[in-house]
Amino acid sequence: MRLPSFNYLEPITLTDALNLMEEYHGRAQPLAGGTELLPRMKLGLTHPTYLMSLKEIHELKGIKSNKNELYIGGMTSLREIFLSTLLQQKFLAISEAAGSVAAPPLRNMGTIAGNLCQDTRCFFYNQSYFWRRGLKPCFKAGGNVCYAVPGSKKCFSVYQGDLAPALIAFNAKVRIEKKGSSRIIPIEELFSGKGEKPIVIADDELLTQVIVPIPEGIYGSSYRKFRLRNALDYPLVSAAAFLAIDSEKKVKSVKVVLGAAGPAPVIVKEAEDILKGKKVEESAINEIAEAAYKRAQMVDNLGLPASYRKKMVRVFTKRAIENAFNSIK
Amino acid sequence: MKGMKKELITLRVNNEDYEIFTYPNKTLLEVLREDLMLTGTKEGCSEGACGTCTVLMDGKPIRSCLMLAVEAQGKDITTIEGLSEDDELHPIQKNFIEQGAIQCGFCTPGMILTAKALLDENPRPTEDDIKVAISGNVCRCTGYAKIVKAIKESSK
Amino acid sequence: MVDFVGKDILRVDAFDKALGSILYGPDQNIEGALWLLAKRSPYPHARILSIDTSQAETIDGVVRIFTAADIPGENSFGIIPVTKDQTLLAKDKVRYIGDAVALVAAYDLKSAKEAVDKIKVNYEELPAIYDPEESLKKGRILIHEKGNLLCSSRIIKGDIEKGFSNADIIIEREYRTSRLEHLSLEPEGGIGYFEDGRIVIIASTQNPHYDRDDVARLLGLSPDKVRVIQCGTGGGFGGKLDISVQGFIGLAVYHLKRAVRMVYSREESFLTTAKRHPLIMRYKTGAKKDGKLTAVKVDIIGDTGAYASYGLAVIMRATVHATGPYEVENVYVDGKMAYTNLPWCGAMRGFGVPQIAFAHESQMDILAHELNIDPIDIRLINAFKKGSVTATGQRLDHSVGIKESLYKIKEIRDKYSWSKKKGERLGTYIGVGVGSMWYGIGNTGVPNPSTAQVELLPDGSAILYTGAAEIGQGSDTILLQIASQRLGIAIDRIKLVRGDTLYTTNAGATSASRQTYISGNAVMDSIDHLEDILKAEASEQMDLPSSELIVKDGKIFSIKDSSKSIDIFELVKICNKNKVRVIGEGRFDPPTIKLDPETGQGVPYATYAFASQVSRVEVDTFTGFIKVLNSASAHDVGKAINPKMVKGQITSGVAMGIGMALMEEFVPNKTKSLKDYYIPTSMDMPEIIPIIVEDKEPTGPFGAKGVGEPALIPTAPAIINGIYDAVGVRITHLPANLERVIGELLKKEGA
Repeated sequence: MRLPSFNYLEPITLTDALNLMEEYHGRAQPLAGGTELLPRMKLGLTHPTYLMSLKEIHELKGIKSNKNELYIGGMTSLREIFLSTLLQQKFLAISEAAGSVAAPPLRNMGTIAGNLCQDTRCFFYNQSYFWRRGLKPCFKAGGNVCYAVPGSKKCFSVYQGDLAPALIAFNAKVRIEKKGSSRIIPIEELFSGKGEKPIVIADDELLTQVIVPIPEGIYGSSYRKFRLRNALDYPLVSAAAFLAIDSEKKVKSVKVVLGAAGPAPVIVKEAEDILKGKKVEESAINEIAEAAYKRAQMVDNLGLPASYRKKMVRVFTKRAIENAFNSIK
Repeated sequence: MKGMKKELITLRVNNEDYEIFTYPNKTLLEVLREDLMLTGTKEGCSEGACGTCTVLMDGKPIRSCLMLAVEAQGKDITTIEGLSEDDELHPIQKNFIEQGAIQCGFCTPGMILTAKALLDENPRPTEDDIKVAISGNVCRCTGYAKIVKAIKESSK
Repeated sequence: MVDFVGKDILRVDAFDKALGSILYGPDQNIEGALWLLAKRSPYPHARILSIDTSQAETIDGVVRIFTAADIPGENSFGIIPVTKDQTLLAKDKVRYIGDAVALVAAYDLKSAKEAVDKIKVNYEELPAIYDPEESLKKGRILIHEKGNLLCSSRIIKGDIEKGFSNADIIIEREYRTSRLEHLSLEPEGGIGYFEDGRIVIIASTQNPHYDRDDVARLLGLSPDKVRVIQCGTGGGFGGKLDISVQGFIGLAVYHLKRAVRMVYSREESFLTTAKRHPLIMRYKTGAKKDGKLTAVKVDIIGDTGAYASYGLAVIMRATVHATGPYEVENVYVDGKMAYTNLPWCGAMRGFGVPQIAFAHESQMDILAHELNIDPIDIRLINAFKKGSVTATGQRLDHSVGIKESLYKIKEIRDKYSWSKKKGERLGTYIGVGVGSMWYGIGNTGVPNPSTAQVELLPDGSAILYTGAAEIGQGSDTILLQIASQRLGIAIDRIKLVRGDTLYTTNAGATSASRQTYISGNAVMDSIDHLEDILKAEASEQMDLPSSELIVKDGKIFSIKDSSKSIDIFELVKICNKNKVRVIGEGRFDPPTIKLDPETGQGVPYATYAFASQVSRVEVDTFTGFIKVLNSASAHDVGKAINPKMVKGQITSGVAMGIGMALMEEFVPNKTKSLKDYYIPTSMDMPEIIPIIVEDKEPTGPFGAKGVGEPALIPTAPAIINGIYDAVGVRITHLPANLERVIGELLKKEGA
């Protein structure tokens, strides 16, 4: 498979990059690690006029922290995030999520911004021109049909990013910049919840940094990912959990987030009500798992049947909470 | 698309500098194979799922099918052809041969380079470390056992 | 004394492979070669009303566009002479999504792609059939004019009804397997050019001489006008037995008389090359209380997809092997292979035996549990021994190592106490499963000779000429070891000329685990003839009758007076001076007797490989996830010419077997890339203990049989039976992917 034509841009500072994005009126597609965008380009699913590599912008790389917050540059590799001892100690779920992506060579290339901003998938959409040719475009391709759920009025493509659920569990935020301005939003607001266009970033904006508040007190976290093989594959379902407790082992705060359970990461909002102020017990975990099961939105558009994947939501929600609890030292 | 122009790019591959006049939409894999005739780097799937296109970039294994050639400028690229010197095999290559880790050989260049990166970083890997390191390089022939053994032998 | 057989000689091709310098199909290039790209059908079944290439021809860079009308010879190919039903470029009809309808030759791939897109094909869609049983019902639309039944095969032995009436227990089950993709890591590719009045094709292949003959047939040429050279071949597993790029390259060179190249994309390889046949297998097995089998009745329906390829061979092999490696007095097996409008199926490592072994070994396991007999013991009770008679009436007189293989795995299982289920915890259970198999070496009841030549040179070296394709399995090394041992010349003094139809003769396909046994024997035979030539010359030189001469340690001696001798290379020098090449022609065709079309009685194979495997698995009952923890496989290979390579084949087979058992499934229209087809990674592999059993085969070279396909076969049954042992559910539909396991667990809970 070959890449379609484009013009190549390679800014070496963030300012240059933002200038270019403005200059090309949103037609400059940022290229981070390339592990997700280039396969889509090869399939002909997207044809950027300008491709702007961010690899040489060193100011976007690296992990820093102060007393209150952790800062991860958008172009920091998943490998670096996985190997960071700071993350392994204080943000286990994020480290686990980074370490679960594909395989080592892809983690050397893939970046946190790229991982967050990856497109949703559906096997009726992610296929080559040979298969799409002659078919009416689906919602995601700009049309108005859905092949996964015939008769549907919306797109059911699935967000399979590993990092987002873990980051949301830690109440992380992202910095989004464009020429002359910068805004910070909670990561969950990065996602539209619409399969057609899952990421809410304007064409002239760039995700430049991930900011994670450092939790206080006693807490644990976990990211559990499920797939058929122990390497390479995207999650069939995943769950991240964050759990903070007081000295009496009662839950101070809890956050449970699902991956691959809809067009955006799914926050299991019920978790807080169910567990807050209580001890972590099986019945409560089961209740959260049930709530997660209800929130997961799955159709037959990935590797295994939706009914099976949905069942696994319960299992992995439980495992994530249990592991988060067990990780508390 | 109108206007896509060839560019002169400079790549440092196996400690030699090459000037190549090419299009920006060429992947590093395509340039290695088609412009530099370094066909030891393979194309197995073209989407990052097999590992046969693995090369080392500044010592780390990457998928050359998912890297633009123009992006690889200023980096040190090592391909399988750069591992041996004048037909003097690298110890990892020797061990792959001696342990019977090579069957059809199509995954071999990517495997050997991945192994090199692992051993450069972690000279005493455990068997599990090795399995994780090569988990992105699929092999259809060997069942991996002898590959793991060859890498383990190379760490001694 | 040289000693090369039974030794871990390093592979002769490993050096180039480690350096990355070996050239595979996609690596082949000639400056200025045109790119070829096929236009393929988007419909599973449709009539072609017209093809308009006029617009496509105007695209810059396009040199020529070919359609069926440009094929000068017979537009039909296929590996089995009586079922050549596949078109190179479809003429009237397309029969699956991916059938080629036109071929573009262009200066670059981009123009070729544009042209492919601009070719207008006007189709009339026809109803398509996706189910083999549907396909065989009367009144269905015909996929091929002769009907939708490709072929059938039957084995009848004894009195099946009597067998069941004598049984204390009867087990009836239906088993199903899925379409599988070979997934050689090297996609199909090659180049072609015109030289010395011949079309030359260099491509990755398992079968250069077949390629030559079918390409010549397509082009209406005599075979000597086509030369096929096998280049580095990055895996085959049966997928490179049929022609892929070779036919297109031949057609383009025929018309253009210039260099062309063609490489399949991974997607094209997925879409348009052979798959493993999915089989539906309905078993009825009867046994006495003591575990002794009394009757086996099997009904098999296979789906060959749109074309025949190896369908006939697969159904025959499945029926012949349906009892498993066991003595059964009363047998009735009926197999049918049906066409559908799905991707066509052909040979894949084991030709139907991995599928049928899954079924017969599941039946054995059920019997063992029902009768409360150790699964290994029930196999020992029934296993073939010397003198046993198979379902086809063949008496097995030599090299029947099945019992030995069972003893070996029992030893391992018990030594490590695998049955004790150590490591179980809530929701995660451990089980141990057993699988056995037998596998006939070579093609089923038909002549399948190999030929070879060995030539001696005056400098003390030799040349081995063989048509046998090296696809990674190791035949280059094995055949050289055999030649070296037989000749008494060090292996590095023998040059190999392999897989070039101009310089080598037909060795038959690298398939059916046949090259060690059959081509190995051809090499042995060629050296017998070589010695005859030497003796004849020595007889003149020494003035002694040939019958009085023997060859030993590189010399020819008189039996009567060992002081009279002559060095063989001295003789070579003399012969060469007289313009005579010292070259021995060898041939071997395994002695078989064609199976009776009504009863299947006959001798399908000259010899069989046997194997048993025990696998220890862990089942996560919450997710259905299966982890294979340990595996021990004992293979009776007759004689391991190269033990290290035999062990390599065994671990290779376990890996592919894990894929078949747990994750691999090619779903037509859904499986399009490597991201949708899961093959095991390093993280999915268990500890593997390969064990070699050597029950020497008297007709084999140094006693050798074969191992390539057997390596795979017992794995899936051992894993599936292990799942049953762990959690008490029986998976009857492969693969036992997460969903199927959970589905069965829930059914069990509900019950």
